[in-house]
Order: sequence, then C-alpha cells, then structure tokens
Amino acid sequence: MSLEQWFLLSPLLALGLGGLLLMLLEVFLPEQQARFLPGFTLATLGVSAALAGGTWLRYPGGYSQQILGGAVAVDNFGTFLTLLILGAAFCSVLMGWTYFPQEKMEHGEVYSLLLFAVAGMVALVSGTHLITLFVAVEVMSIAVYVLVGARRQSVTGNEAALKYFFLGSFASGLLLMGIALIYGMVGSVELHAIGHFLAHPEAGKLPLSLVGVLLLFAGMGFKVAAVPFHAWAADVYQGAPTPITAFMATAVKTASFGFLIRVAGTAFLPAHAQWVDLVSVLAILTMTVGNALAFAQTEIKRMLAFSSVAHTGYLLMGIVALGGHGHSARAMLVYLATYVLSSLPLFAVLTAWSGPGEKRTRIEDLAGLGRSNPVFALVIGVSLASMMGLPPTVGFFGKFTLFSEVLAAGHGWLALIAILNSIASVAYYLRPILVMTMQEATETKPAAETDLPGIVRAALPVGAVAVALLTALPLVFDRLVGWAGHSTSGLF
Amino acid sequence: MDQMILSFLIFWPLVAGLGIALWPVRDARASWIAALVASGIEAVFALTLLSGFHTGLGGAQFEVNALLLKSAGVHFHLGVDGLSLVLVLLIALLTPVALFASRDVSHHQRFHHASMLALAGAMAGAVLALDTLLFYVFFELMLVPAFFLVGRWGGEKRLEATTRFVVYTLVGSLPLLVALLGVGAHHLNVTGQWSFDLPDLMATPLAGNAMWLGFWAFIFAFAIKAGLFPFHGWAPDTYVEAPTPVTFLLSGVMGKIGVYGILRFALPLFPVAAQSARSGLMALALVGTIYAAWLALVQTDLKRLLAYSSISHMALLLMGVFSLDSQAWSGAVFMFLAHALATGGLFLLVGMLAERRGTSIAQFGGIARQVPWLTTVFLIIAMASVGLPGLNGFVAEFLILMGAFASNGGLGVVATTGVIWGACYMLWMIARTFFGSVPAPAKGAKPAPELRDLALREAVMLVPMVLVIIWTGFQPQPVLDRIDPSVQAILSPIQKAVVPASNEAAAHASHGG
Repeated sequence: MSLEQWFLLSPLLALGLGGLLLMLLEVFLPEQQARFLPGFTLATLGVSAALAGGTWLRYPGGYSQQILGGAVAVDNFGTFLTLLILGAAFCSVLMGWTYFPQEKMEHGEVYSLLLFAVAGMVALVSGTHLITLFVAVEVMSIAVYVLVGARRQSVTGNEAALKYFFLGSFASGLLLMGIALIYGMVGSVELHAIGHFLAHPEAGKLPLSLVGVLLLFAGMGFKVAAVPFHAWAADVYQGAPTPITAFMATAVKTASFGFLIRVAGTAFLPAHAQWVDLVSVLAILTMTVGNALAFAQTEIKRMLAFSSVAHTGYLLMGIVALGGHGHSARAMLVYLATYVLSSLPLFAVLTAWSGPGEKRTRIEDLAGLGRSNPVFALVIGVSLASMMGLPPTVGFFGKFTLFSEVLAAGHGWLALIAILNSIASVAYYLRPILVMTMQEATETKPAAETDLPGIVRAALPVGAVAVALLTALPLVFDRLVGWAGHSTSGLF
Repeated sequence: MDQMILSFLIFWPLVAGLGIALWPVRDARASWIAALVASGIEAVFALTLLSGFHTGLGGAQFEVNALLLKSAGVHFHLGVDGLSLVLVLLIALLTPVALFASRDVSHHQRFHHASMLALAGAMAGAVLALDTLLFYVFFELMLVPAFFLVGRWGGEKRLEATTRFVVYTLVGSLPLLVALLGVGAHHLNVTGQWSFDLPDLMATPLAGNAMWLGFWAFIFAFAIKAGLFPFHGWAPDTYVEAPTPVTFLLSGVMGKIGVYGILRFALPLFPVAAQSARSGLMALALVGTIYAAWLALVQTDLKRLLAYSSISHMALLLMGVFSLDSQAWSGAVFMFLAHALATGGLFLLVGMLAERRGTSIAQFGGIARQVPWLTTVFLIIAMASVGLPGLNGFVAEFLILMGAFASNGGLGVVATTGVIWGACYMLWMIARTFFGSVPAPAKGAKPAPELRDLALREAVMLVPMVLVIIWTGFQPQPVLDRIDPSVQAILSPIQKAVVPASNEAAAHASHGG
C-alpha cells in the first residue's frame, strides 16, 4: 500500500486505533482522572475529522479510488458522510459529558465502543464490497447494542438492549442471506460487478437475484427502522441513554442511508424497475405508519422514535428516485444533513431536561418550560418546527430539496403522499410546543436538571438560530447543496 | 433608497420585533412605546412608498431581483404594484393601531408586541414577494406569530382555537408546496433549470391533469386562508378567541393575503383553469356569502356575528375575483381597503364594548343614550360595512356586483340579495344593541352600571379610520387610479388565455363533484 493510500484510510484507522488505545489506557488510569476518557474520545474524533477534512481539501476536483483490493473506496461521498457522522458523534459525546458520570456509565468500554461504532459507520459509507459492508454493519451494530444497555441499573435500558440485539441479529441474518444469494448468482460481491450482472436484461428478472436484493433491503430496512421492521424503534429510543439515542437517530441513520444509497445506486440501479415498486410501498408504509404511531405517544422519546421512522420513509423516497436522471442522491445527503442538524440540539436539551435517572420523559412534563427555561423551549420549538418542515427552518429546505427531486423524477404521487404525511405530522410536533408555551407548570417543585457543559449551553441558542435560519442564507444553502452535489457526482 | 425600501418594509419589523423580545428592560410600558415607535417608522416608510409610487403603471415598481438560492432557482424578487400597494399600506398603517390597542396586555408584553411586529413583517413579505417560493416562506412565517398571539393571549378556548387555526392553515399550505414544486419541476423539464420566479413560471404554463391538480391545490390553500366556505371552519373560533387587536389584524389584513394569493399566483399561473372553473368558483363564493350572512343573522354574540359577517364579505370579494372581470377586480382590491377598515373597526368597537360589559347582545340594549359617540362611530362603520352610498364599502360592493353581472347575470342577481342579507343582520344587531329598551335586571340584581363613552385613546384609533372611510367613499378615484392599471396587467393575459374544448368538459366534471 502506498503512502497516499494510508493517508486516505487514516480517518478510519485513527478511530480504530483510538478505540483500542482507550481500552488499554483505562486499565492504568487512576480513578480520579476519569475525565480523561471523554476528552480522549473527543480528541480521537477530532483527529479523524481533521484527516477526513484533509482528504476532502486535498482532492477538490472529486476523488474516487478503490483501495484494499477494491474493498473500500475513498471518495467524496464517503468523506462527506464521514464528516457528518463524526460531527454527530462529537456532539453526542459532548451531551454525555456530565450525563455519563451521573448515570454511572463512565467506563472506558463505553467510549471505546462508541469509537468502534463510528469506525464501523465510516467503513459502512466507504465500503464497495458486500463483505466489507457486512463486517462494517456488524461492527457498528454490536457496539450500539451494548451502548443502548449501558445504564446497567435501568430496567428499560436492559429491555431495550435485549430487544435491539435479538431483532438486530435476525436482521443481520437476512442481510447475510441476501449477500449469499447475490454472490451465488453473480459470483462476485463487488458492487460494480453486481451492477454489470444486473444490467443484463434477463439477469435482473431472475428470481434468486431479486430475492437477494429484497433480503438486503429488508436487512438494512431494520437498521433504518423502515416499516415493517420498525417495531424496535420506540422501546430502544426510550430505553437508551439520551445521548446514545441522539447518536442513533443521527449517526446510525446517516451511515445506514449512506450504505443504502451506494448499494442501491451502484449495484442495484440497473434492476431499478424490478424493485422500485416495492421500495415505494415501503416508503409510503414507513412514513404513514411512523406518523400514525407517533401521534399516539405520550413519552417524548417514543414520539421522536416514530418521527424518526417517518423521516426514514421520506428518505426512502430518495432511493426510489435514484432511477431518475436528477440529483436524488444529492438531495438525500442534504436531507440527512438538515435532519442531523435539527435533531442534535433537541436531544441535547432533552438530555439536560430529563434530569438524573431520566425522571422527566412525558410530553406533559414540558408544561411551563417556556417560562422556566426559555432557551430550552426555544430549542425544542425550533427543532420540532424544522422536523415538520416549517419554512424557513433547515428542515423545510431539506424537505424542499428532497421532495422536488422526487417530483422531478416522475413520482408525483409519492411526493403527494409524503406531503400529506408532513401535514399529519404537524399534529404531534405541535403538541410539545403547545404544552410548553401555553400550559402552566404542574410541578410544584421543579425537578433537577442535568448540567450541561458550558460549551453546550452556549452552543444551544446558536444551534437554535442555525436550525431556524441557516439555510435561508443563500451562501449556506448553495454551499451545502454544492458539497452534496460534489459528493455524489460520478458516484454511480 | 428605491432599492432598499421594500426590503426595509419586510425586515424592519422582524428585526425590531426581535430586538424588543430580547430587550432586557422588563418595563411593560417602555416596550409598548418602543413597539409603537417601530411600527410608526414602518408606517412612515409605507407612506414614502405611496408618494414614490407611479400612478398609471401596471407592472411592478421598486423591483429588486437577485438570485437567492442558485441550486434551487429561488430569487429574492420583490416588487410593488397596485394590488400589493393597498395591502402594504394596510399592514403598515393598521399595525400601529393594533399595537396602540394592546397597551393593556396582561402578561408577557414584550413577547406580545414582538409577535405583532413579526406578523407585520411576515405579511409584508408575503405581499411584496414575486418569487413563489419566497412568497411561500413568508406566507408560512405569518403563522408562527399568529399562533402565539391567539394561543397565549386569547380567550378561554384559545388553545382549541389556535390549534384549529394552525392545522387548517397547514393542511392548505402543504399541498400548495407540492403544487409549487410541481410547477417548478415542469419549468425544469421545459427549460432545464429550476426556477420559482413568478415571471419564469408564468412563461411555462402547465396543461392537462397536472394543471388542474396544481390549480386546485393553489385555490384550496388560499381559500382556507381567506376563510372561503366550506373551508372557513377555523375563522369564527379564531376571531372570537383572539384578543381584539389580534382579531383586528387577522381579519383586517391576514385573511386578504389569501385572496391576494389567488389574484397574484393562482389565477395567473393557471389561466386556462381559471377560465374554465370561473362559474363554479363564483357559485361557491356566492353560497359562502349567503350562508355566512344567514349564520350571522342568528348569532347572539357580537364578536361571533362580526366573524361571520367578515366571512360573508370575504366570500363576496372572492366572487368578484373569480368573475375575471376587470371592474370586479378593481372592486375587490378596493374592498381590501374597505373591508379592512370596516371589519377591523367594528372588531375594535366590540372589543371596547367587551371591556365595558361583555359581548353578548342580550346584555345590551338602549345604550345609545349612554354612549352617543361610540354609537355614532359604530353606526358609520357599520353602514360602510353594509355598503351605504357615500361610504367606501359601497364603491367596493358596487364594482364587484357590476363585474359579476357582466360575467354571469344569474349569479349577479343572487349576489345582490346576498348584500341585502348583510344589511339585515347588521341593522338588526345595531337595533338590539344600541337602541330599544334597557334590559330589565334579573330579580334581586342591581341594574347594570352606566357605560362610559369613548375615551380619548379610543377615539384616536377610530377617528382616522372613520375619516378614511368617508374620504375614500366620496373620492374613490385616487385609489382606483393606482389599482386599475395593475388589474389590467394581471387580468388581460388571463382573459386572453385560450381554453381548449376538452378543458371545458373537465371543468364541468370537477364542478359536478
């Protein structure tokens, strides 16, 4: 391997090495210096992000090179998503800065697992080989199973981890089965080779390869919580420690969709006509069921879980629209970025607000927040407005970009159903806003809140303003679309 | 300066509102004065705009056009013509009145005043935008301050009212977004470039089913905002539950932005559909006029009666719009002004009665002798509302009815009876409230205390409105001179659009359902 290839792999290597080092160092670490752990984690993530940023800057004209014998491609697409994932992970660790010690989960393994999970994600968005991708999915998933259950005393946490683990293993089985079938038909697990094979007019219609494709969609459908593989979402989002929920809602989702875009766009696109109807149905079901279930929730994290299911549905439309000649992949990246940006401040506030032991979890507990803590209320309000897609928030421009690509690709009905779903979603996104701004507090004595580190507290109002207005600035929106376009041009 | 004035009209209230919301001084009176000054500056700018406006030109003036989002084809395109001039003046001149009336807000004064300013800014943005997506952003943005104004400072059932208001509006505006994206995607297919600029989109009209879907989505969204029957469900509750100054702004200006959307976007973008659906939409608006007038007739609450009266008038206004006749259009735009002053003024007066005693008609009777000035003002404004010649409501209704007759004689006849119903409920309400005998107190209860006549502060708000009502009633021509060329500019391409034979059939089919 040449020096350049080492450099290209360095973001991934840094994460893996950092995770291993952290495990070793913790053994020798005196107990009172526990703050070393999150510090080291943040530093590792930062180094990795710097290296990825270096790759991005070094190849401004776009770059695509296969390394490790064609198992991994380092291209702008991977780098864009890597940076997004690293950013999300960085913020999640910051949210946990005081939360983790308070919930007695400040152990070296939590941080090293987090780093391993991120390493898995980075591999997942750069792999071009189904075996690499499978290994990446497992590295990510196994680490996240453990993280979900990291609050060992919490019953809901244990339940969530167990559920996620069982259902996740089952999904991995489906995924592996799909890979095996595809390999059996094609004789290769390399994405471009699969694409070549399916491009043959008869090959795409072979039942076995079709079953393989569908099993693969099913396996990944579980990871992104697409209906009917969504049953775990609410329990896991609720039971997981809030910073980890944030990590799942942002980083895991981004990485899984990175995988889906690359696989569907490179390997499966020639057989688009065979699976497009099925994925359309999947998208419609996912957004509709997600929104319907979200409406029935009284716990805010469960509501957000189903809202995240609904957003998966919107994103799946982008997979459907990949068949058009437009820029569907670009729109999906923009959507993912806006979704991550709107989610992170919200989860940061929920981390603080729910307090030690996550005592406050219900939507009605928000009553009076507008008066007692206007900054928190502002962040929650803006983030939810962005998720419902109210202009001029970033969520509006995300939806706008994605829906217009879906329309331009000729799926008018799909876009219409998505819009109807967005309308319906207003009903439940509005509820917390109503409760916190217009109902008086019911608690006589306000419950304790978790302290946030000063930097997060300072960042919250900035984040709220950014979510509210950032993409309305022409410079920012065009830049973001430009970057995303840069990442996806020549990808397939 | 010419380049900046429109942007200033939009962003000054937004920035000033933000400043007041974040202002550390907690003194309620100080923030009220600051908000008043801010809205006064806005009014001065609007008047500057009026003095710089060239009468006789139909196109947009003070135009600004810059590419905002390159990748999405969104332009920062602002401009003012006769239609938007009327609305911008209303926004800028009625906001100070509304703020003046909100001196005694009970809690969270800074946030209240800031919301009101933000509402003004968002409305100005919606009215001045000539890029469809830019318009959409401001159109939605109006909802946020309105949501808080109704939900935080409203009456007892304010939460239900505000929820209903928001859900209704969003149910309308999201299909509007799809339709917008569809129109944009069509432009992309034809020209290879995204654009949401109105002139660009008008150059690539849709046809066939896509046209009808788009047209109905536009009409649906704007009909909800304007409170057109049968999409008016949010309006009575919202107008009743909102605090008086907020109702004043919502019924006076915000509802008209729905009509403005139809005039500016829905009809010009889909001229063929507009022609084909003309009679059906006129009939729908006519049903709305009479239905709301009947409902107004049976109300026992003053505020609710006015809410239905407002809905009825808006429907009449829409009938003029749908008739696609230039006289009716001039009348409709003139009615923006007339209706805003009449309905707004009546809501203010009822708010004053509510402060003194209540809003139920049964609580009043024979109060003309106790409050002669209030009665006089009420009578003048109510007469303007029912269209007494010499007051500005007459000019508006007369022009609309003339246009309606020219467009469809049968509907014109029925519409005239609708105006009569308007006189019925209004006069009957006045008779029961101000004249007749003082209601006898219940057994054992003390008689209701005498009412106080208009205070100076109240007169300051009302007298200018009354003067404008009378002045534009006798002298409508200066206003019409500014409206007419723009009406011609927008309407003549619509009238000239050729309707293919098959579309007529489609139009009839869609009316059947």
